[in-house]
Parts: sequence; structure tokens; C-alpha cells
Amino acid sequence: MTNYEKLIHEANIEQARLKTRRHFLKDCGMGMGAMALSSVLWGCDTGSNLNSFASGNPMAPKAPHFPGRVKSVIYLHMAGAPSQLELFDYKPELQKLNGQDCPASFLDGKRFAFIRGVPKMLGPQANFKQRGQSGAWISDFLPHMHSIADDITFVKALETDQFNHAPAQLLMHTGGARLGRPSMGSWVTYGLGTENQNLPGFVVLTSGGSTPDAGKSVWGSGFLPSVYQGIQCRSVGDPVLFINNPDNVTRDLRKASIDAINKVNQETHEEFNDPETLTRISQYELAFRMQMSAPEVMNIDSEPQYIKDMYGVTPGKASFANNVLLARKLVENGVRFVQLYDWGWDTHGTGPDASVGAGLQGKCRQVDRATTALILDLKQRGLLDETLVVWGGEFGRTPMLENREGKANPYLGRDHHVEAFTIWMAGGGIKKGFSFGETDEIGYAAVKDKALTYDIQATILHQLGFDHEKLTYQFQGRPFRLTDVHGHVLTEILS
Amino acid sequence: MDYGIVSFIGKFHPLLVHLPIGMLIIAILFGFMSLKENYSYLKGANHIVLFLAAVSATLSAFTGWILSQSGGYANELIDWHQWMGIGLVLISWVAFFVHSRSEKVFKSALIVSGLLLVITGHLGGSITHGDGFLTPPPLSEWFVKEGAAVPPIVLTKETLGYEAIANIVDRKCKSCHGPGSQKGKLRLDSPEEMLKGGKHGEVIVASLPEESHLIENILLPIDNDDHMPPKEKSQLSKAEVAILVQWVATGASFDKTVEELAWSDSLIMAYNAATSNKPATYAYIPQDKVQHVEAALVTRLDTLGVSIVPVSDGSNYLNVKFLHVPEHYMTEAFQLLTSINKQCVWLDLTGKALEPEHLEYLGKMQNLTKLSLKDCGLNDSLMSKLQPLSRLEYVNLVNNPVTADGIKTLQGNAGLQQLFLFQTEVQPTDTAALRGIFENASIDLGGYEMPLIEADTSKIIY
Repeated sequence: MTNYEKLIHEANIEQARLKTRRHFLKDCGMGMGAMALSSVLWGCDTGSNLNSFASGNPMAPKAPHFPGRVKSVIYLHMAGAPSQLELFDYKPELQKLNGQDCPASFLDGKRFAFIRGVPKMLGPQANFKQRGQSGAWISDFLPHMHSIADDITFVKALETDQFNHAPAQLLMHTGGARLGRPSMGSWVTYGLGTENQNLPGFVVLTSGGSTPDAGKSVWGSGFLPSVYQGIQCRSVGDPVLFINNPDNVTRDLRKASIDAINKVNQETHEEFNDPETLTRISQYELAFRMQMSAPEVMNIDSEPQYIKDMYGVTPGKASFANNVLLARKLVENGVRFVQLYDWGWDTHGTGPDASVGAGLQGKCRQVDRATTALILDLKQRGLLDETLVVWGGEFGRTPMLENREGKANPYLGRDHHVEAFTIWMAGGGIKKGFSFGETDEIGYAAVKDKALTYDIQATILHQLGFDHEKLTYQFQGRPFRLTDVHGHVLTEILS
Repeated sequence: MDYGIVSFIGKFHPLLVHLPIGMLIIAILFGFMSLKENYSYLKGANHIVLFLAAVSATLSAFTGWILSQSGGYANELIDWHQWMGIGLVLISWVAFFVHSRSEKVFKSALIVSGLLLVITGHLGGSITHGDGFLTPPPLSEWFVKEGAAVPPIVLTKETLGYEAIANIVDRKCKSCHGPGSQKGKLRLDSPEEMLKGGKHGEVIVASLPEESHLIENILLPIDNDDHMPPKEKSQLSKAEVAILVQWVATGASFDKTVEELAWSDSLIMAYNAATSNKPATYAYIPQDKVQHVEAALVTRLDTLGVSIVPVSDGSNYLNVKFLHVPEHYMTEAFQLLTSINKQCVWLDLTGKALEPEHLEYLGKMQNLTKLSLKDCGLNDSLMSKLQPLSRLEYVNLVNNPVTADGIKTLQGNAGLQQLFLFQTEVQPTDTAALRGIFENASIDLGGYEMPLIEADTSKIIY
């Protein structure tokens, strides 16, 4: 350090030392005045009219913008992305091209997760037939689902813009491909609260041996108060741990201790006004109430045998079927949003269980019966009319055979594909036995009635009674919403 | 008219107008201040300010006149703005000349120029930003009643096809292509004007939507500069575009009805659904107005375990659920609800053992459209108490020992749409009779069976 630099340094230190509180107040007088003014005027608070803590209980049931067609949502997400070309989007033309080189027009300027060079086309690996009165194409990989063909609506020309699992899952469930935004279930519980205060409003169940690639962020609350985040229940054994009081602790004693903790938290909240403290209070209270209701609701073993057989549950083990039956019980008991993730649909052809042939078929067998049973069971209980069921992945799969890094894979597989995939919906206010949108002859891209992931979100919110453009939360100086700046309700699929 | 460089000069009008505005305000302020002894020294400076104000006002008026000649602006507002502006120029010169001569005239000139400034400025603002731009939302509802919001029309077979077009034009095009402003020399507000076209000629080629400029510009991607309506304006909905295209495709007729034009039902339905402002016309809500429910009553019911929420924001109709009501509070809860019988439209009593007295109360909730009575232990004699209900559209009787005779109690409900009878004593043989009574209802007896198929038992060998 030269003497000159030393001098400057010393001057800076001296100047900082001389800055007193008086200077601060004098220099910032204008700024502080403006700050005070903004709180006197209505300031920047143009946010939503949904005061999240209006009644002191963030989860209290609230009214939507207009009368909702459904009260609850069960979202069945097949994590890894099932191949639409083997399940619902029948492309006989693709069969004719099987084994031929992919035309350059499909590859120019495109990027794929693993395909490099020129891949071969791959025809459908399943047999298709039209099912039900509606003549919906469903392959023989999903034999049970044929019986619900007339209860569901397919959205076949869906497009996303993320070709990797985690960002695509985030886009599908939070409306943004990057971390940090609230998930759909969080938005819904933020807007509607939940009916049954003895159970969480937003429950997450996973199966398939792994959580989705995007991790727990796909059911996170993002910038919403964390009371709205999804509550993941265990998939093996008791869904919720430590539901019983320890030995020698009576319910009264437990109540007294939780009341004492909450009193302290309440005082903290009054002092600092942090909504996260309210979250903590309501979590304690919820846990206490769940001790009463959860053991009964969360126990699928209490269902009659014919229902267990219908879903094909395997009590004691982790399975999609168990989760689906539990989802029905939760919705029946007033849970607002049940999110299921089933892992293992990523059929690249890298292994026997990851092929679009037998591998995909095996995966289908794990969900086919339970999914069908869910629709039929909801229907006969009069619940399908007030529940929305959504089934789908985060993107589609290529009409081309995957050639990982230019080399052939050991099994037949398809790469991630963003330009076309299929999901289906069923339930209140959704057309029965309908198919919306078309892809081209080989299922590469949408040619008619293209829909985006935002449109699915807008439609789900619409069915619950929300205008997706008005369900907002003020954050970082602007109102945010699930669909960001996009989204159109798919009015064509509404009955 | 295109004067090239001259019309370019006109474009400086919006910039230049701000000079006389600022200077005149200063001149008025200084003018009145300098009348006081203490500030009399301002007089000299103000003379210069007055001169500059008058010069800049003259320049503004001149450029303004050029701009108005460039087209697209002919209307009453412009006339007023023009004459007020010219008046303002004159009065500012008057103020300059009388400044040191007559104090009395000078004062009145200042007052008049101040008034003219406000009026001219406001009119100018109305021309650029649209009429009523300065009226905040609650006021605008009182002031700008007509013309502000034209409601969309509902298409029927008898409607003239052109009526739909005129309605769309009124709502989405007229502000720029109407009597007020005529951008591109195009007016769309009458059949004659529409056929006349704009500065690029005709905009409609009957039966050929792909050759009609009107349709072409509408279908351009929104980022295209020629896209209509402009990016920042309210856009046409998909259904509106479809109707416009269809209208041109079917001959751009001004006197044929929808039926004569043979527009498809699906097109009409899609249009009506998309333009009616009501999202999701939900069947289960009555139309009559009812009273607001007092918060104290809701709180009281809440403590008994009844969840009460309005069916939607701002609605007085209620969605009521006996979620956590213990057995010994059931009667009290029903009693409390009697005062708001009319407001209850959705009622869920799932899992509550109902006594005869409860059903007496229930029979009085005549606005109920949606009723869930799952696991309520209802038998035929209890069911008979539901006879007074007549607006039910959804009834869930799953898991109750009722028979088909009990269900027939509901026959006064002509609008019944959904009837769920899983796990009841109703037999499949009864369904034909029930379907005869409830013609529009889907009757679900449940008991769906899923056969055990090969896929359930065999393993996949990879």
C-alpha cells in the first residue's frame, strides 16, 4: 500500500466514524418522509384482496372468485414423463417410418436431452384400439383404463419449454422453471383455505421409490407463507409419525403444553409481525388436531376388502395404489389438494425397466388398476362431480428412437420431448369422453389446439372458482400469480 | 395528405406543448406575485417569460395544426382543442403586450390564459389517451356512462350476423376506427364506412378472409407492428376472431341472420361462452337475491363445528358443511340455520346420524340445490320429510338404507341432474322407473366392478 492509498483509507475510516445518527436523519429526512407517506397513502399495496390471515387462521376456508365447479384436486403426476406415443397418441404413420432416419427438418435448430446426430424413427410399441363410446385411443398398456375412456378428457397437443425433468416439473407445478415459486397446491390452499381443519390442506404422496427430480420444491410454498406448503406423508407404514402421545402424556397435558408454546409464539408474533410465526402456531395446532383425525382418515386398512381389491392396494408396502386410495379418503374428508408423484417413467431405453416396451408396460401395470379404480370409486360416491383428477407427466417423448450421445441404447427408448405430450383430466365440469388438440402424423408437434402448461394451471384454478389472473400475491414489489404472465382457460374442454 | 417533412414537424407537437404550459404557469405565478411590493423585482424577468411563453404557444399551435392535418384525428375534440389552443396563443400575446401598460387587463388576461391552458391541455390529453382518461374508476362509472362499456351481445339463430360484428367493433375497434379517431383513415362503425376501407384501400373482400386486410392484420402475430388491435390495446378473443373470419368467409353480409349464414352451433356456443362475462355458469346457484348473513351467526355456527363459506366472493349464498358438529350439537346447529334457510344452497351432512327433527329443519331449506346426505342413516320415512325441497340439482344418498320408494319423494325436483345411490336399497331393477321420474338426471347406483385381468396377476419378464 502506497502512502497515498493509506491516506485515502484513513480518510474513509475517519469519515465513516464521523457519520453520526444526526447525519443519517438529516441526509435521509426526505427518504424517511417518503416512506412514512407511503404508509399513510395506499402506497404500493395493490395486491390481492385475499387477506391471507384475515381471520387469524391462514387455513380457514375462503370463497373463490366465482362458484367453483370442484372443491378438491387430485393430481397424479407420473414423474419421468410417460410416453404419449405408447399410451394415448396413436400414430400409425409413425409405424410406417419405423427404423428410417429422422428427416433433418425435425432436427434442425432443435435440442434434445440425449439424442445426438441423426436418430431413427420409432413406431408405437403398444397396440392401440378405440375404446368406449367416445372412441378414445388407449393402448393395451392400460387395459383397465379402457373402462373409463368415456369419463375423461384428453389434452393431446400440450407443449412445454423445458426438456429436463426438474425444470419441466417445476414449470408444470409452479409456473416457473426455476426454483422459488409456490406450487399449485400452495396457491390453491392460499386462495381457498381448507375445509377440514383437522387435516392438512395440501397433502403430497410419493411412490416409485424416489421423489421427483425437482425435489420437494414442486410442493413448496415459494414466497407464499410456508403454512401453504404441501405436507408430504410417508408412503410406508404410518403416513404420519409420532401421531400418538408418548407414554404418560395425556391429551390434556399435550394440549396445555401446545397452548403454552403457542402463547409464547403469539407474543413473538405481536412483537415482530412475522407471518412465519403464525405458520408455526398453526402447525402446532394442526398437529394436535391431527392426532384425533389422522389415524382414522390415513389408515387405508380400514377400508372394506372389496375397495382394497378394487384399487389393488398392498398395505404395509409403498405403492401407488395405496397412495391413490389414501388420496380418495383425504379428498372425501375435505383435503383441498392431493398431489401424487409416481417415479420411474423415464423410458430412455437404457435398461430393461426403462424401455418403452416392456419397461413402460410394467410401469403402467403399477398405476392402471388404481387410477381406474379412483375414477370409478369417486364416481360412485358422487365425489367425481366435485373433484378434479389430473393425470400426466412433465413433458412428452420423442417419436425418434433415442441414440444416447450418438450411440444405440441397449433397449428401445425415447428421449425427452417438449413439443407434444398428453395429459388427461376428469371430474366436475370437465367434458366426458373428449379429446382436445391434435399432433401431426408422427406425433412430433401440435397442429391443432395447442395448449401450454400454463393453460392446464389456468384451467385447474378455473374449475376451483378462480380467475387465474386475479389469484395473486404481492412479493418483491409486484403481484405474482401461478400462471406468471401466461395462461388461457381451456374452455373447450369444459362441459 | 402527406407533406413529408412538414408532417414530420407536426410530430413535435406533443413535445412542444409542454413549453408554453410550463412557462405560462410561471408567468401567471410571477405575474400575480410581482403585483406585491415585495416581489416587484420579478416584473422584468416575467416580461421575458411572457414573451417566450407566447412564442412557444404559437409554435405549439402551428405544429398542432400540422399534426391535425396528417389525418386520423377529425372529430369534435380536435376542433375544440384547436380553437382553444388558438385562443390561448392570442391571449398570451395580449398578456405580453399589456404587461407593462394596464394592470387590470393584464390580470384578466392571466386568468383567462390560465383557464384556457387547463381546458386545452385536458382536451389534448383526451385526444392522445382517449376520452375519460382522467376519470378514476369509481368516478368513471358515474360520469362516462354511455359508450364506455358496450356489453357483448348473445348470439341466437335470429341475430343478424353483422350485429355480432358491429358489437365486436364497438367494443374493440371503434375507439381508433370510429367517429372519434380514424387511424389509417379507416372507420369500421357502419357498413358503408367498413366497405369504403382506409388509406390502403378496401379492408374486406367478401367470402375471401385470407385476402381481407381486416382479417389479415387481426391474424398477424401480436408482436408484429401491423397487428390489430395494437399490442397495448384490449385484444380480440379467440371466439371473436373466429366470428369475424366466419362473417367474412360467409360473404360479409349485412342483412343475413346467423341461421341464413349457416354458422355452426359450436361456433355460436363458443362465442357466447367466451364473451359472456360470467365465467363457468355454475348450475347449482339460484338467481334470486338474498340477504347478507351476519358474521356473528357464522362465528356461532363455526364454534358448533359447522363450516360456512360463501359460494363465491361477494355472494350471499352459502356452502354449509356439518364437518365437525358433534351429535349433541346437531339440533342447535339446525336451529341456528333456520334464520338463514334461504341462503343455504349447498349443504353437506356427510356422516351425521339424522333424527326426524333434523329433517324437519332440512325440509325448510328450500333453496338447497346441492345436498350431500352420505352415511346419514336415512330410511324411506325420513326421506319423506324432504318432499318440500324443489330446487335440488345434486343429491348424494350414498350408504343410506333408502329404497326406490323413498327416492320418489324427490320427484318435485324437476331440475335434478345428479343422483347418487351407491350402497342404498335401490335395486338395478328400479332404475328404469326412477329414470322415468327424473328425466334429466344421471342416476348412479355405483358398485362398479373391476375384473381381475391377466395384467393384474402376471409379471412382466424383462
